[in-house]
This record gives sequence, structure tokens and C-alpha cells, in this order.
Amino acid sequence: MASVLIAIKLLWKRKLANFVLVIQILLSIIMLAQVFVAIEDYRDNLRAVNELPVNNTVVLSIFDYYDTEYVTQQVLSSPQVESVGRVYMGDIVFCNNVSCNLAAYNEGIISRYSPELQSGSWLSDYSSFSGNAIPAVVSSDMKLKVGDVTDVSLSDGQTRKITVIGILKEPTQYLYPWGSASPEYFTASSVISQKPVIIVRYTDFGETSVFETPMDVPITTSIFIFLKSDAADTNMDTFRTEWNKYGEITPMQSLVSTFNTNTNTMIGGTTIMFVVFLLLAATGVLSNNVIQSLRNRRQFTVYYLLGMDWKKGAAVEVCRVGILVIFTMALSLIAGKLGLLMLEWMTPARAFLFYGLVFLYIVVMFTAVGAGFMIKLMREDLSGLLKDLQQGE
Amino acid sequence: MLIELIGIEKTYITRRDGVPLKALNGINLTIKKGEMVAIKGSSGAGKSTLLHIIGCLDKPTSGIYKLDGADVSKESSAKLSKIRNKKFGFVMQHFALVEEDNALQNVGIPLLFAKTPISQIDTLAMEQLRQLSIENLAKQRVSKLSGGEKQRVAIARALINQPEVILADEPTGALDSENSTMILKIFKALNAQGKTIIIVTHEDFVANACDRIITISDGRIK
Repeated sequence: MASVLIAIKLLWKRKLANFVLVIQILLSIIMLAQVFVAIEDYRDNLRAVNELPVNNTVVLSIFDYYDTEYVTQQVLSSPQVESVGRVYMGDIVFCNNVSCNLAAYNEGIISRYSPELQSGSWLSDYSSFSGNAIPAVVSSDMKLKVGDVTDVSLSDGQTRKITVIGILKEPTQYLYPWGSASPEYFTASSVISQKPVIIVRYTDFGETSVFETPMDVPITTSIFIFLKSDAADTNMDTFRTEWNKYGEITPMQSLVSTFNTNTNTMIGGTTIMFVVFLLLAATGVLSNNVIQSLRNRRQFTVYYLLGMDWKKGAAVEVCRVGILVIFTMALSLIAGKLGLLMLEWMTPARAFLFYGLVFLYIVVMFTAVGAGFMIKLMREDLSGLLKDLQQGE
Repeated sequence: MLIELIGIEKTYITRRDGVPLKALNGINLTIKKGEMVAIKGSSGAGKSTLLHIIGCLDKPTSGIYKLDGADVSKESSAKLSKIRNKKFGFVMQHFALVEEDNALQNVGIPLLFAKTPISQIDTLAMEQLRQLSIENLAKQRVSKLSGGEKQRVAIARALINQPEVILADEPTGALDSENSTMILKIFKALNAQGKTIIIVTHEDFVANACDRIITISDGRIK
């Protein structure tokens, strides 16, 4: 009890310095959250993009003045083409009180692409259905589980019944190409979406206008051309010559490889930035803490003179650090609730990991100097400390 | 015999060159209960080192130190802390007070380590200030007090646990003559009440007011 009391006194005596210390740490935690989210985002994009089909695959980003169906038929007429993969993207729909994307994959995509699932099966495990409910793979933020049957409200006023056969792994990432897939402009967001989604087989969905593109809306559609295995790489120039008129054509391999290189560079750069920032933040925090410890040294010397032993001194320092850690951690939790730590960008597991890192960071910042201070004090003899005390005055 | 030092030696290893420095060289000393003793000597003679060993602030390198008949020369740090808290009161040249606290808080600090119930600390501290007629300083921050007032607060703190021995290291060194005389009067009054007072000083008027003067030179008692 006496140790807690003395610790509180020490903290209160230097309330301004302690307030600055806590704010320094909080600000660095806010910055750390942004860097953490950025790194995790890059890593997620890497995972998602590397799930895309690459072997014998080229992407054709069709100019907006061409009809996608027409171009698809032209491509399919080529003898080197095995199939064309296409994603039909619908308007926002409502399901289970969540507004989400609707993505209908054709057979070409379903057979070549399967995103990581946290439960259930992919659409390729089901042939066309014959029942009432359409098999669907949904994202985890739809709050549905495998086996659930529910209604989907479409933008044209129709409804469809779906049965959930699979749940995408968190965080939500799936093929949803809506931008240009040329190397210069290729980003993960050109082909990947993170919004809540219902994914179905196109042929299961039936007649609906939700996948039709309004005439006055110029939109770049990308299709995936899956070449036969005997179509050699040297045919790429032939394909370019043949299909350039319809849009930008790029081998998927080079797209993904370029993306991987760029993203790994970004991850490396962001990680270095993370480490540098952490060191700078640590320097500021530790300097403040060292100054406080030097001031506390004088006070501890007086306490030792009056009968405090080393164990009690250590207990006081532990209490002081403990109070600071608890207080700063509580403020971090409040900052999280206020949206300052970008928790909405993290999965629950990552948020837990992030808070674990934050706790470790806070504990290391506060205890590093405290431990050094106590060890130094215990090694010095009391009469030496008293002489310093006398000289210091 | 309250304090008995037999063959006490204290050697320091200096940080700069690692050469051992013998601060005390075979000290034999006895101090009886109720004595008022001055320890005199030039700078570096070993006065403060001797006082620190007597006050259990430091351990001798060799020799025996008996306090109230018990050998404390080899006691643990924790035990010495308890002895310091209960048996000794310290009055230092530059007061050794916590400047940011008020007088009442400073006087109450030894009670914290004596495990006095927290609810009683302020009351006991106030009573001690009253005994020295400085209760008006209770709520004043120590940093705002004069030298004489600070030293009186330090004496009140030294007395709070009713110690048998008061150890004073140059208690008048930072005071003017008027305050020095006042502090010396307080020590004489405490001695008259039966307290053992040991004062390190190089001021003759302080030494001459004591029952006995011990002169130390080069770590030895002359």
C-alpha cells in the first residue's frame, strides 16, 4: 500500500512530464496503427493477387466502346483459346441487412480460380443447381454461415434465394476486375475488391438486368483469356496483334510478377519506415523517461536515507510503471473506440495482435528506463548517492 | 554502550583508476547513550564516512560495529534500512528534503517506511512540527522556506520515529550564524531529553558545545 502511495505521489509530482510522456506514446501508437494497417493491406493484396490464375492466362481490358460479349466471342473463336473467364458485376444488393457486391463468375473463372475459404466449399465443387436456392460463396462480413438459406434483394426489385456453401477467408478479398489491367496502372484494386460480397455461378442466377451496364456509363471490363497448354509464349505477339484492337492485353504472369515486385518493395519500404519511426518515437519517449528517472533518483536517495530498502524501492518503481502502463493502455483502448487506430481496417484477430504489440511497446518503453534506473541505484552505495545529493544542491 | 566500533576499516575502489582508497583505517570508538559528540577533521579526513557507517548508510570493509550490543556490521541491506528508520534520525548539511512536498509531507516520510497506518501519519507529523513550534510551516512547500526553517523541518523529520540517535552531517554548514545558534540550541535541548547526538562539523563553536570532540585525520582517530 505504501509503495502504491509513493508511486502515485511520484507520478502526481511530475504530472506535466508524465502527461507529455503518455501523449508521446499515444501519438506514436496512432502512427504505428497506420503503418501496421498499411503493411497488412500490402500483404493481403499479395495474397489475393497471387490467388489469381496466371498460367497460360492473359488479361484483356476491353475498350469501353466495345461490347464485351462481342469481344468475348471473337476471342473464343481463336484456336489457341481454351476458355474465357468473366466476372459479371452487379449493382449493390441487400442480404441479411448488409449491402454488398454481387459477383457472378462464369465457368471459365470458377474452374481456374478459387479464393481461400475459411469454411465450406468453392463453387467448382457444385455443378449447376436444380433446387430453389442458388449456391453462393459469401464474405465473412455477411454474418452468414455455411448452410444458411436467405433472400437477396436485387436492384431491379427481384429477389433470389441463396444457400451459403462457402465463406471467404478474412479479410475479404476476391476477384472483381473493374479497372484497367495494364502494367502501368495495375494495382490490386483493379482486380480485387474488399467489400462484402455474394459470389454465384453466372448460369445459376437466371434472367436479370442487374449485370447489364448502362449505355451511358463508359466502363472498362477485363476478361481473362485462358490459353490452351500448347499455346507457346512466342504466340503472345500474335495475340497482341489479333486482340489489340479490342483493348489492352497483358500476360497475367507479368502483371502479377510486376505487382509482387512493387508490393514487396512497398512492404520493405514501409517496414523500414515503421522501424525508423519506432526508433525515433522510442528515443523521444526514453529521453523523457530518463529525465524523470534522474529526478526520481534524488527523491529515492532521500527515501533510502530515511529507511526505504531496495526491495521497496523496486516495488515503488514497479507500481509507478504499472500505473503508467495501465493508464496508457486504457487511453489506447479509448483511442481505438474513437476510430483513431484504424481498427475498422483490421480483422478481430489482427486487432488483437495489434493491441498485443501496443501493450508490449508500452511495457518496454516504460520499463526499459525504470529497470536501468533501479539497477543503477542498487549498484551504487548509499553514501555515494548522498554525496551526490549534497553536491547537487 | 550504545555504539561500539572495533577496528573499523572502509576502503573504496576509486572509479577513475581502480586504486583502493582507505577512508577509515582501524577506527575504535565507543559512544554512550545520551552523549553529545562532535566529529571534527579536515576535508577528506573520513568524517562523513564514519558517520555513514554509524548510521548504517554504509557497511565497513572490515571490523565490528555493535549497536546496542548487536553486531550490525554484516547485516543485510533490508535489515539496515529498518535500523536506519527506527534508531536514527538524520540531519544533513543541505537538508535532504523533498523540495516539491510541503513540510508536513516531508516530516511524515519516515512513518511511511515504519508501516505507520496512513490515517495517522499527518496527525503525528503535525504534532512533531508543533513540538518544534513550526506548525505554521506545515502546508508550505519546502522550496519556499528559508535555510533555518528547512533545517528545523529536517530535525522534525529526524525525530518523528522517536530515534535514540540523531546523526547530523554539518547541520549548520549552510546556515547563517543566527540560524546556526538556533539549531545548536535545538540539539542541546534534545540531548537534555536523553537523545544521543553525533555531529560532524568543522565549526569550533558547534564542536565546543558538545560533551566530547573526536578528531579524525587520514582515517584515524587522533
